[in-house]
Amino acid sequence: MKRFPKVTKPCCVGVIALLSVCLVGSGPVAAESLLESLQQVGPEYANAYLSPLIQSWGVNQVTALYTTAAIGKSKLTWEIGLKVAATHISEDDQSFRTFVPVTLDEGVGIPPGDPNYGREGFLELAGPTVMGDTDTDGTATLYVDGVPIRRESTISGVVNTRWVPMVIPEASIGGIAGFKGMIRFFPSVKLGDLGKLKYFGFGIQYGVNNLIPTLPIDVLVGYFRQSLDLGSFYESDASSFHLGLSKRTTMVTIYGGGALESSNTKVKYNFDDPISGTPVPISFEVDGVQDYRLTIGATLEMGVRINVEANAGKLAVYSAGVMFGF
Amino acid sequence: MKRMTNLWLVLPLLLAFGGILTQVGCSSDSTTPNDNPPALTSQGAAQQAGQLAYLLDTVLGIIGDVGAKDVYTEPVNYSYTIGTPPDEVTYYVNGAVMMDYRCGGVAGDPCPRDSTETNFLRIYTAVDPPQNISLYQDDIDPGNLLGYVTFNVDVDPYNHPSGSPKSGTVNTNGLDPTDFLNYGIYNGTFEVIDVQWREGSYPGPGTLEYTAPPYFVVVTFVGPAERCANMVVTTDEETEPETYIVDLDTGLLVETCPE
Repeated sequence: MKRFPKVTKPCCVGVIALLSVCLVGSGPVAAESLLESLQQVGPEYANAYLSPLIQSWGVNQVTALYTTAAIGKSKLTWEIGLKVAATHISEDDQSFRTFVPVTLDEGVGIPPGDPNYGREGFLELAGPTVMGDTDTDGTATLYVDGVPIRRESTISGVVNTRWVPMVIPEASIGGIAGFKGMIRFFPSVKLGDLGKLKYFGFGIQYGVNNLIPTLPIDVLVGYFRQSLDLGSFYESDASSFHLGLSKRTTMVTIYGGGALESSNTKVKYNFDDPISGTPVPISFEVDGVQDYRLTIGATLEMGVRINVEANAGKLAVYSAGVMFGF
Repeated sequence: MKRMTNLWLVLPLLLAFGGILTQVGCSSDSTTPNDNPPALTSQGAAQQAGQLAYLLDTVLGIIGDVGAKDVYTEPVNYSYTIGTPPDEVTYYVNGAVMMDYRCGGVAGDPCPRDSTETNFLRIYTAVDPPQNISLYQDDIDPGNLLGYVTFNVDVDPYNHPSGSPKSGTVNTNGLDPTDFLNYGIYNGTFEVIDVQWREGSYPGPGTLEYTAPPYFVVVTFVGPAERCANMVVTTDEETEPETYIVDLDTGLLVETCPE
């Protein structure tokens, strides 16, 4: 962040729908409000502020990719349903503190002639993240020689919770030469001035038992890729290579597995520079921290499939879902 | 029917399984920056010590403003402005300072401040409840606390001849808690050594030692007529000492002392 914006209290953006990519109902209002808040801070602040959301969404997108590893060779099957993935973030992720080196000049509101003009200093950016305290504003403090010479309030949290959920509509078709195809899709939704919400993912899985029928348990390997766009403001991609194992009893399938995964998110918005009075285009890119996961879960097989699962990686993710099909 | 019975049997078990997973599941690593401040620089250490010297000068200055009270525990309120309009910034110094006057030195009995036998003065910030001398900035964010300092100094001997300025020799009294300065995001401890003080004048000669590892700063007060004090910063490492000048009217580092 290179500016000291005059900050107004952000609109309450606490609409949980924003946190689930299906964005039903009030999503447009929530998304625009979040954007309005971000427009008051620079990229370094926004990067840290959004970090738990970006990381969690990146992980959620490739969660619950299977609820059984059984894929038939030639008997056509299909499923459609809804899953919910929720990352349980660390308590430390509800606030942040970072330091940015700056030159003290007009860019940070220090005019020529000021005794500190031209000197090197740093900004301390600290406060609640988007998932942090909604009643406390963050701060941006300018230091020179370790002495605070200017401080401003910034923005508060949006939703004070450690759970970052995502609703995932999913459909699949299997039993084609041992393969199963899957899509995750949500119809495009206009989010006001923000642009359109686009949510689309696809993947393919193969039942290894079709090659090795003597395996004592069901085994699948698969690949999945998911994208999530909120206009030009937020563009996220995530992918997963996964290996799934399962064993079915009469009514319950116990499953588990591992995955190698990655995610990348680009954020773009205009920063309302209070000094120049003009919008400044801001963009930054964040790679997901999670690169692997282990999964354990159980599926109730009663015509409908009801599953719960836990995923352990750098982030802990939980999921539940209901799938219908034959 | 049997299928439904099984459903109602298994579904709670599944939900319980899910609940157990969330309770015993692994915790997430933090993905948000929670960084430590950049390391203090030599100049930063000098600035901290300079501000401390200013605050010491301010505290000593209030002795002359006490009035006729034997015990002074009221808030100290000073302000000073740096810069010129529209870019001026006003800083406020306030807090509560305790003054303990005694006859017969540190081990003597409490005495009225104007007693001819009073020859010792302890100036300190209260420990319980804790009180500090604080420095605030009103610019943009009123009440913005920049830093605070705890003083425990003795003026021994304390001279107050009738009709003449009060004076004395100031040293840290060595009592707990340690005298410290918490300014901005750094903090350090300090010691006042044989600083000659005279009412209405700048402190000096004498020294103030400020330690904020790895830096050690010696502030040398030149004399009662000198607005500025000299500072030498050394480190634990074998580096050349660096010298600075602090303006005791503002606590800021200056290239040359203002007239």
